[in-house]
Amino acid sequence: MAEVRLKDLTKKFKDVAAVDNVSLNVRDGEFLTLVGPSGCGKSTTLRAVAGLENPTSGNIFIDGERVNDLPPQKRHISMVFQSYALFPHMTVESNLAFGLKIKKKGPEEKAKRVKWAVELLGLSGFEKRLPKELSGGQRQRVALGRALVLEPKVLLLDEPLSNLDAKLRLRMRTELKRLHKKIKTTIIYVTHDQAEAMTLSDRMAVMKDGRILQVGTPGQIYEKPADVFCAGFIGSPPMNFLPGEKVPQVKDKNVVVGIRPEDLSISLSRIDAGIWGRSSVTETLGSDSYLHVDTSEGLVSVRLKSDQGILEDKPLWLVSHKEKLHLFDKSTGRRIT
Amino acid sequence: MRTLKFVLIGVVLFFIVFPLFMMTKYSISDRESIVTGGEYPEPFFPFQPTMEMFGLLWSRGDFLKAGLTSLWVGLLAVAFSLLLGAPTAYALARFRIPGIAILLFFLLSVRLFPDISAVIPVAELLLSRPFSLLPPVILVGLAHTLLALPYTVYIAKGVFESIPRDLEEQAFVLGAPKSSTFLKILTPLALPGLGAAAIYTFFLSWNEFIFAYFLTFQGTETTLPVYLLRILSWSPQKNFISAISVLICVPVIIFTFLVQRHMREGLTAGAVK
Amino acid sequence: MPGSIRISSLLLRLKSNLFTIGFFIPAFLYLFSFFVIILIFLLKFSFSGNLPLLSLFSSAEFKQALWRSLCFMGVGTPLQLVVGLLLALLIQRSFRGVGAVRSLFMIPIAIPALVTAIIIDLLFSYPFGPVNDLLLGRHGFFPQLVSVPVNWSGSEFLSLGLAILGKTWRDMPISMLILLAGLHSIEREQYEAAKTMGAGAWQEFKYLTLPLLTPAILTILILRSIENWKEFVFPFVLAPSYPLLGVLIERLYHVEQNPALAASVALGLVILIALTTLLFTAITKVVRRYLVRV
Ligand SMILES: Nc1ncnc2c1ncn2[C@@H]1O[C@H](COP(=O)(O)OP(=O)(O)O)[C@@H](O)[C@H]1O
Ligand SMILES: [Mg+2]
Repeated sequence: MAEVRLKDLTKKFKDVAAVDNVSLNVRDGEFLTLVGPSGCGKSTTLRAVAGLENPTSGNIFIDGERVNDLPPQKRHISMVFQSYALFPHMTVESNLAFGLKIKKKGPEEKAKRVKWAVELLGLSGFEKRLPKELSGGQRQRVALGRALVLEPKVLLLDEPLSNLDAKLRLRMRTELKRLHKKIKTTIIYVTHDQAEAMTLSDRMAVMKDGRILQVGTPGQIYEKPADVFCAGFIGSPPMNFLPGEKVPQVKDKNVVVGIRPEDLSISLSRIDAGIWGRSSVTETLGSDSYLHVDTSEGLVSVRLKSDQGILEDKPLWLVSHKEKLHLFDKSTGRRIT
Repeated sequence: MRTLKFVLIGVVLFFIVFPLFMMTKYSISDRESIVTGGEYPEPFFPFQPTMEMFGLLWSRGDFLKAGLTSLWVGLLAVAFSLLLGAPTAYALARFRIPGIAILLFFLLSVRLFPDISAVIPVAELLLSRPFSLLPPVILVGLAHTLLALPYTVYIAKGVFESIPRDLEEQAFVLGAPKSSTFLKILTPLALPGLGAAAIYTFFLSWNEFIFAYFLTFQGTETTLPVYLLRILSWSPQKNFISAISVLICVPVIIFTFLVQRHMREGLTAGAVK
Repeated sequence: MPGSIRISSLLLRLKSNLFTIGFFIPAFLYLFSFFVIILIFLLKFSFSGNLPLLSLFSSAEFKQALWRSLCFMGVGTPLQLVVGLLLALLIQRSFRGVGAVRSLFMIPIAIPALVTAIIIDLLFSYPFGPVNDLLLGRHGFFPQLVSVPVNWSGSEFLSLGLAILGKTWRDMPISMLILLAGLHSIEREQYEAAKTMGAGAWQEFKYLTLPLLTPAILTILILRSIENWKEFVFPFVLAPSYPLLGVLIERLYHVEQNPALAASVALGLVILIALTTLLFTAITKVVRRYLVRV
């Protein structure tokens, strides 16, 4: 249990800043996700917290203590790597016990903690297997267990689910969430998958080009994205963007208007406040259907109400409530209201 | 840790360079610097550096002759092993022969005999009629081909495998016969890679001692290493023997730096799976 | 008649690939005929000499040479492994100038073995030579360790030691390269994981590097032991008075003009190498199985 604080953290490789002046407070027991496109500096931030990268400038505090100069093992953190980094020559049991062995714990305590992890993660019966004899999901759980047996104050997870197939990934998501509820350790989680971030996090931090653009609960970021990038990155299918002057309710050419597909409704008769377009194709994603509409500003996607039939190649008007529009400054990209 | 590492690297580099430095030093030493009679230690740099020994070697016909012999043997070995090895490598790379592993094993198996064991039968064979009628240069060249051929095949196989098959099939579809496809399309593409095999073979031959020694034990025509050993048996001055050593080493060291990557491939061939 | 169909389709395949097969034959024939010739000669000589093979193996000269070869192999192999490992570890992580250092580490293998042996002979010459100068304390910077010059080539122990030294010096790049390939196949994240769990440099080496390097190490042990059994040049130059098997073969052939006897020893050497390889391969299997369960 601990809180983590990053203050003006910067990490440069040669002259390129992979992490650029990042400040962030992670609360005690919180599940915080760093989310952003690949190469935006998420892993580097996480590795700086772990002590695997030396920050170029800025400070890292764990439980109020400045840890910049502490080696990884003195920071009371554990890390799970994207490739899992299981030791290929050790059995599941030895992998789980490795950290305890290094920390010179007695055999009884070792056995107790390993047993705890095996039961927690449903690995019973696999203790004597080698990593190569396990499935992807099991390996993932061993990596998690190896981190947990050390009872870290902070658990760092770098894209732990990205090597799993789609179905397993969804299941492990739920398991992770349940696990966090149970152990209540502070978790910093890195992913490039916004859906994963939305479902897992207590709060998330959206990163781009080494900077944090917005921090907040998934709901806050979804409803009030701080800028165009966050607005477009979070949500699927992504938000539609239209120039201000083309939206009758706005009529301002210094503004970019963002509208989520579910906030648009379709009218087959002319509406003054509407945007004219022609229906193109319908796409069904499970329970929801989306209609792509050809407008003068390109394709706009609209979520169809369940009772709406498929309309193809028909002229139509798109409208939204004024308060559902997201307005962004055209030059800075920042949110206006 | 880091400093320890760099100190150790320094120590290792010292142990690698020091013998070479001493060899070079001896080769340019004056008499005074090597014949001390125990009155003073040998200096680490000659009192009066001189190129005298190199001049002497240049004027000696037997040294130049040995140098030329080495050169010819090397070139012969290169020519033989490429002519024999490249087509074989091509066949191995292109044609799924059943039991290819066994064939490869046989190709390499000749190298399983220790040189010092294999040299007895080879010498007995090549030094008896009709082979003994051939000039020694060719005999040694043939022996070195035997040593180099497995490596040539191994390296060249990799070269041909890296050339896309489509090229040949395209030529074939366009109606070119296989022989001209091989000569006009494949050979030019493979040339740089085969060059590496050629260089490897040349230096294997240039450095080889055992076969050359046994095959030219009696004649006057020898390669440089064997020449060096013969000189050694006269108990020569340190500077003279060092000058010959330097002249043998200089080309190899230069070329090692130029073709390091290919050398590494040759050295670890078959060892890293 | 499925059999004849299969044969005819095989013939067809052979025919359409005649060109390729024709390519394959010359080199194969060259190597294969030499292989057969060497084998037949060795066998014929060994069993046709007026001395039966068995009495050779009981002769004192052979026994001594065998013992020296065994020592050469037994000391040289682990030594070369350790030196190779040290070199590989030194240049495992990249740093500024690592390429240049690696190139310099490659130099010994480029130099002809004979030249290396001769340089060592010069350095350790008796009574006056650079190493004796050092040991006698003739240079101010080095303490005096002996009072009379050391006659290296006059002592069995020292001269064979020099031969091992020379062999190790020249062949260290080979072991280094194989181990380096092994080291580079270990993922960096595994080391980082160990580090976050508190492992220090020594523990990383003990628990990760060494076990994961075992296949490469076993490969080296096999290759090096073969190489050391058959060594000729270094002992030939540096320890001529104390022949080991390779040197004995040369002496029997050239000095005693007895090709039959030389071939017998040569065959003995081949057999020894085969046995050692089998032994090491068996050990490899056992060690692997054991390691996997640690
Ligand atoms: N060791 C390194 N050396 C040089 N550049 C690096 C290194 N590690 C990361 N980078 C660069 O820093 C940037 C951020 O990398 P990273 O933190 O791994 O991104 P993410 O995890 O968000 O995909 C990338 O542009 C990457 O190329
Ligand atoms: Mg990453």
